[in-house]
Amino acid sequence: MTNAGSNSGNTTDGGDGHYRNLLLTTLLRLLLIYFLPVVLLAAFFHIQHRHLIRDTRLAHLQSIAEHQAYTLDLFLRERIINLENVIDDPRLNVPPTNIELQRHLDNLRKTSDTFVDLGWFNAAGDLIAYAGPHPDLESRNYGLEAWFLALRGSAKQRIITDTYMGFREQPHFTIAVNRVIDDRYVVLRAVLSPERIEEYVATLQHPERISTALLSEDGMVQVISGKEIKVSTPSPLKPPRHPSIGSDITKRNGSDVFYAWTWLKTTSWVLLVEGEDPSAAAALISGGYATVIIIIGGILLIELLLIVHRARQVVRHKRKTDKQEADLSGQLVQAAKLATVGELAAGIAHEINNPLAIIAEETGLVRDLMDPSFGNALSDEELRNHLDIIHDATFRARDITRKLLGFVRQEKVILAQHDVCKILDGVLDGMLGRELELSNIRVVRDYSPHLPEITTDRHQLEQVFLNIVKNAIDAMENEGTLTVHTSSIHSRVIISISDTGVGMTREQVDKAFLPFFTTKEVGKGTGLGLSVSYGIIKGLRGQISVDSELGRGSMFTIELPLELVSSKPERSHGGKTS
Amino acid sequence: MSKRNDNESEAGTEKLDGKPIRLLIVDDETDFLNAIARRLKMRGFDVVTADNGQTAIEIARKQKFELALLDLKMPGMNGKQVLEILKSEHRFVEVVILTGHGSLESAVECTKLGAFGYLPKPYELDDLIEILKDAYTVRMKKKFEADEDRLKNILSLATGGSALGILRALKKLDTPEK
Repeated sequence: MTNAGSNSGNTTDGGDGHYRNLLLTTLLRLLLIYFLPVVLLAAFFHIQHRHLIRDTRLAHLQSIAEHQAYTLDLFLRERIINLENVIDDPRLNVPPTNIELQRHLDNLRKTSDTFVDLGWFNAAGDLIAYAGPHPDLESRNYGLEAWFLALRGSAKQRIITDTYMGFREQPHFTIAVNRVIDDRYVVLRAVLSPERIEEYVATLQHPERISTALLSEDGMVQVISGKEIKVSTPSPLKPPRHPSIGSDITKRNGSDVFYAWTWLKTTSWVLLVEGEDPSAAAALISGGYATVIIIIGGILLIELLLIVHRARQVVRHKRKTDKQEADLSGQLVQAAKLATVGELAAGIAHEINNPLAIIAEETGLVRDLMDPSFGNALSDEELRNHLDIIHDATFRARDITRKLLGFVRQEKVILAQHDVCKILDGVLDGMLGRELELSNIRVVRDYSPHLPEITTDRHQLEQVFLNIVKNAIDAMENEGTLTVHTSSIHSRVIISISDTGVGMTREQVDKAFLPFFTTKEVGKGTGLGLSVSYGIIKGLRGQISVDSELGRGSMFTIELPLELVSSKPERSHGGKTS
Repeated sequence: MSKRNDNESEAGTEKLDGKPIRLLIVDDETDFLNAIARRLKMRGFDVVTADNGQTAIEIARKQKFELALLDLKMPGMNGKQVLEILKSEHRFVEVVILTGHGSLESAVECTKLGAFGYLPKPYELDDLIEILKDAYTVRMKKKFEADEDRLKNILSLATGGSALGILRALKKLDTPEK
């Protein structure tokens, strides 16, 4: 009951905005429900995929690094063994002659063309014998060269130097072995061309996307694939010493750089393999991506369209049910109105029958006066007088039917600024005016002089006042005082209507707003008036309550807001709930 | 149709039993009161009007009436209250209720309170006169029966033989009953 009433209030001020909001929220909800899991799942798989690609990539680079480091180790070890074979050759004179060395160099070059030259040093670092392209180097002293000092100063029997320029001013590196032959410390040294090593370093697969470099312990580039060798250039990447084999990802110029390293076993060089972000590369190579995107986009579009369609359907359905509900509550209010009219019927009949009786009597009288058998002559003046009375009576009756129709006619809810006191006066002087007078009820109007106007529906409020005042009249039987009081507190208008009638018991007060509850005799009241009034007041965002004492009278209090904001009606607190 | 009826009835209702019926009409609608009073006067009734219950009761105390026409809904004293007082103060007055209210409950209630008839407004004048005539007949009959009882009573007192009884009977004959 009360729900129906408040709903009718909602729908009247709801409008299109309300449904647009509903459509948006429904859409959002559906999108979240349908797309969120898909997006999350996609994101999860994407991340998994990326990780997989990265791991694969790193493993790939790692294997290249390991493989090449192994190859390089093998190569360097071979070169040292070559050199050791020469120095340990029992046929070799100590010290050898240049020719001897040349012959050995020629032999070495047959195994590996990386050998540039051979040199034989004594303990002081003097170059005793030499074979190679720089004969001018002969008789130079290498005693203070870093590699020589390193070899001389340690217990090691072999050394592999970093690349350096040296006396010949060309990048080269040196391998050297030492021996003590016949109590004499001798060193055999070979210069190797780094260009040759580059061939070992360069990879076979995708050389454009994978670069390989050989770095010294302090991070200087020794050899780099596909690039001109720049000795002693610091490498931007410096792999850690431990672990000796590893891989990682770093950022350079905003993009990921994948790299793997392996430290050589023969010398403290590290082999560094670098590659680009594989997903970026993958994006470049797969031209099929476009079709995939089109297909996925198409599916998403279809799903989106379906969702929009579904949301619209939901809103349309809601709109329909709202309308039905509003219609229903409208019908209920209308039924209650008619019921009120039924209760008013006897009073209304009286008000119409009285003027009709006057008309009947006046017309009869005029006819009598015109009848010669009564012998009375009717003057024009007198006739006019009687006609005036008939006229007045006719319009008295018309006013009553008009008031009745004005009340019964189903009016649309029209919200406008109204003075509550004027609406009260309309009820007290209009439809119920004569009944109040005939029932000897004194009406005390205690109106606040500064009552603000409120935004409300006049007809609905009229109906509420009518119900309450009519109940008051019935409660007071044949005399009493009806006090109507208005005031305003905190942007709310308070109307109280109290009577000096029979009043109600506690139980009756509790049930006063329940539908079909009536204290009147069977057939006199429908019990709808107050329950509908309750619904109307709730719909107008107000509150209605009753206070009553048996034998003393009842007081109805209505509270209405000044503005009818289009928010949900507040929950009733206190007063009656039904 | 009603005109013919009017004409027919007019002749017979001018006077009943040679003297006019005394009738008190009470209604708060003065236009109605004046019109009906005039029309009934034209038809031989002796009419006095009152536009409220209090006045009606006061008039009834001063003048004798055989019949009364009463409206129910009136400001101040209402029809039912007037009916009760009239019936208690004047035993033989017959009251006809004339009201626009016209509900069955009020008709039953008024009959219980002693009203002779109940006529809803608006009505045909003929119907009203018919009811008034009936009311008058009933009233006369009741009055006659009451008089007869009284006479019998007096007669029995007189025939009792004692001088005191005859004296009492004579005294009773002198004071007319209300």
